Amino acid sequence: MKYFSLIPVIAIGGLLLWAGQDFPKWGDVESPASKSPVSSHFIANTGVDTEVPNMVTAVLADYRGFDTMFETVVVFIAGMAVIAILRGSSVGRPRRKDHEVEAEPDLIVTNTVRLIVPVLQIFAFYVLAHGHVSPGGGFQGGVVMGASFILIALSWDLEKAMSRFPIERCLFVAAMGIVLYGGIGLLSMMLGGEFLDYAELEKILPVSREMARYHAMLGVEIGVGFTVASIMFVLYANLASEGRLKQGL
Amino acid sequence: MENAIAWIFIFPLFGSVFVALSRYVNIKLAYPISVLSMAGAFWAGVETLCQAMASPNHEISYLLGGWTLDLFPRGVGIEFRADLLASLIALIVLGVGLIVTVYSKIHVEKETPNKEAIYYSLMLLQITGLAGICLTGDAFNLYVLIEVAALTGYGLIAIGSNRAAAATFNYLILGTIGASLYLLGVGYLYIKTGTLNMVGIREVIEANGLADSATMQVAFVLIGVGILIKMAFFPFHAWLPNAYCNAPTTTSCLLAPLVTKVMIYVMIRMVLTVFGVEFSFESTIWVSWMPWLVVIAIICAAFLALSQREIKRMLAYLIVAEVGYMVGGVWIYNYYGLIGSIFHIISDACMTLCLFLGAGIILHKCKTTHFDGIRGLFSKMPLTMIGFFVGGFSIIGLPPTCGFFSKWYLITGGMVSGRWEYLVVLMFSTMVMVILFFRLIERIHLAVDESGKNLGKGHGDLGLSREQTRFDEAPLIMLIPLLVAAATVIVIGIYNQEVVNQIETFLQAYDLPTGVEYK
Amino acid sequence: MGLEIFNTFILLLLVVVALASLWVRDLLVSAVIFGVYSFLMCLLWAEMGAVDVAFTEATVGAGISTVVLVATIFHLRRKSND
Repeated sequence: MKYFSLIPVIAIGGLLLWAGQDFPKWGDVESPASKSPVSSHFIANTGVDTEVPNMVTAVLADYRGFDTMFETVVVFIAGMAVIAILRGSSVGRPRRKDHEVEAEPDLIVTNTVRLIVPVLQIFAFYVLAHGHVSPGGGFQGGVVMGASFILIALSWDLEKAMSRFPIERCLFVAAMGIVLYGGIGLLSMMLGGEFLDYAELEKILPVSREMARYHAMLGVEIGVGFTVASIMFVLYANLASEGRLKQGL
Repeated sequence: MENAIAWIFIFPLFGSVFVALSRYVNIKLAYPISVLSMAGAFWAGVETLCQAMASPNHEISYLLGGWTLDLFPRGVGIEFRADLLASLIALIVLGVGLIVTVYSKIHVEKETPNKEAIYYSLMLLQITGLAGICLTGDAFNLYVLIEVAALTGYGLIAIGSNRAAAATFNYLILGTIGASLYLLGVGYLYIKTGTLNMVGIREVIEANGLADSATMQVAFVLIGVGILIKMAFFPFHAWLPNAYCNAPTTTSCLLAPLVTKVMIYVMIRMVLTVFGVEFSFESTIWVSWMPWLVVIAIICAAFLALSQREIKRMLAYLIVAEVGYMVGGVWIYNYYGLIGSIFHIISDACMTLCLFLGAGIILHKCKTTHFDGIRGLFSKMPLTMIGFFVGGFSIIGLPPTCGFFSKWYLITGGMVSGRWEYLVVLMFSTMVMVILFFRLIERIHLAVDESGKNLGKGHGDLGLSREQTRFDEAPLIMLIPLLVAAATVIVIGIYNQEVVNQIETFLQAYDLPTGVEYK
Repeated sequence: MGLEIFNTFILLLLVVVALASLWVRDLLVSAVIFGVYSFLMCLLWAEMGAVDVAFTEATVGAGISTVVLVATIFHLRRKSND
């Protein structure tokens, strides 16, 4: 069976290599993807349209903001699906004992984490808020934020992390992230534009159309950050404890 | 209403978030919020279809984010395009979603206790994803929405029991492979065309003469195979029966009519809009061998359906056979075949809904869907059985149900394009479906035992005790959705010309052969 | 020229790491090798100038997904069957 599955793998691999024969050269400025009016538009007009120096953020959160909204929804769904599947699935099954450690949390580890976590969380906020200028944004910031709670859970135990960020509150925050993202889109639609047309927010913000896009993008990224941070922790907490939400690893 | 097309996804999206939040207030709010938001979305779907029919070029374009379409390959933002095909299928998706949401109350409370909020939330997101797939005009956005629909699907199936979770795992692996292949294909398209807009891609292909490019050919294969896996086309169907049979009842009612059909819609969209008729049918070799694969698929699925002893599992294999019909309708490369294929998406969604709702009610009342447990059910639940068999007759293809008319167009297409193998296999599988459903009728109406011996003493006597034949109909909240679905099957059948007119208006923009081709 | 050698080296390493993650029997080791794979990808993205993608790959691919995989594997038998 193991070798039988080699056949489709080799077939697809061969197909992919064969397709490479008329790829544009690596880094070719004349290739369709770099020459097309779409990418030229991004390069030439991102600054004009949105005042955002980091082009990637503008494409992610504005030009293709609808994709990003549904990516956030996908993260939200992943969290909900994991809860839906794992909650109650382990009722009656004994907890595995073979890797349980009875000892107290290690002193060096906990003290290091105690030092790292505040820095990590501030860094998460920096990544999120500075995404317009430097690499970063809601996804990365949210993941770093979620990772800080996972770090607490790893070095102490799940209860300690959940006392800081209970699972119920996680779901609430995640839903609020979606509401924030969709709400900004809906608000701009209510103000007369299309869904996610942030420029219309100038009617309620004391700024120009371009800066309205800039600020709306920040709001949207915060929404993404909310959802991603809380769902990352939900995923870890549920998977590490088979849905019991006790003790963890 | 100017933004009707946006309300189609806004209603269920926000609805699902509020349903998820309802657990903090009162869990009883979950059901009314879901029904209300689905009703809103359905209204928006009707409105979109009306607008698309009224507009001069029969499509509406909605630019998310308000970015212009002026650039050559259609703009920098994401576009929602509701042409007649898209808005018809989206309306069917929303209609099925509304009916299933109304129907779900008792099942959800019984089968997924304490998880109602999450369940309804996932269900609404599933419908958001599927309706979005129909309406989007952007190849990458389509991938994102496929992911939304797929992930919610995994959650909705696995929520039921540990067995369902095991079935989901197969679905997850295969579904992920399919989606990854699709994504790879889109990546290859972007390398060669530099745009992601569906119409834009076709414009670039036509303008730059990319038909012979190896990359494009491989992109076509990757996207095609990815979608075939997702739609459970025969050799890739392994995930479907287990997933749909072990899933909670409402999940199978929602997924069975929609997921595979929406994926066939995606295939039609890829063939017609993204790659274009010329590329898909003339520059690739799919036309010559896809109908033969379809033949194998339909025959195998029909035999597999014949060997099942349980209604839900039998219906699952019927879906696999029906997928073969529609794929065949596309690949016989003919105007009538495509009409039949598109019409069959619509009618198959309605009739599969009937059958699964009926099977759900049987499961609720009899605790089993095994053939042995349903003897003499007609005298107990006549209305449910009428609804169930309207769906069954439509699958067989009896007029005036809509299944007859869609099959009619498929057969016409097969004849006109000279694809006799497809024609023969359609007839063959129709015979198999007659056997399948008359076997059920025999058990439900006539109460025969395993060997075919009639258990009753005379005409009208089912040989069952009074207790077993007492009138005991399902609750109205389950019965009414079933009867509405059955009525839809008949109404679409009677007014089939109206639907076909819309499909023909849509297909007129594409250059498809209508006459006989002698080879 | 230097960049090409760097690229080739990383790409070869990627193939080796991918095969290794399939080869090892211990799922925990496999998960860690996946982390290595993500990190190599991250290097490659950064070298191509896609710093945003590199950042995401580092946080999500090498960070969170490894942790989640390890957390899951702790509840399974560690040895893979094939």
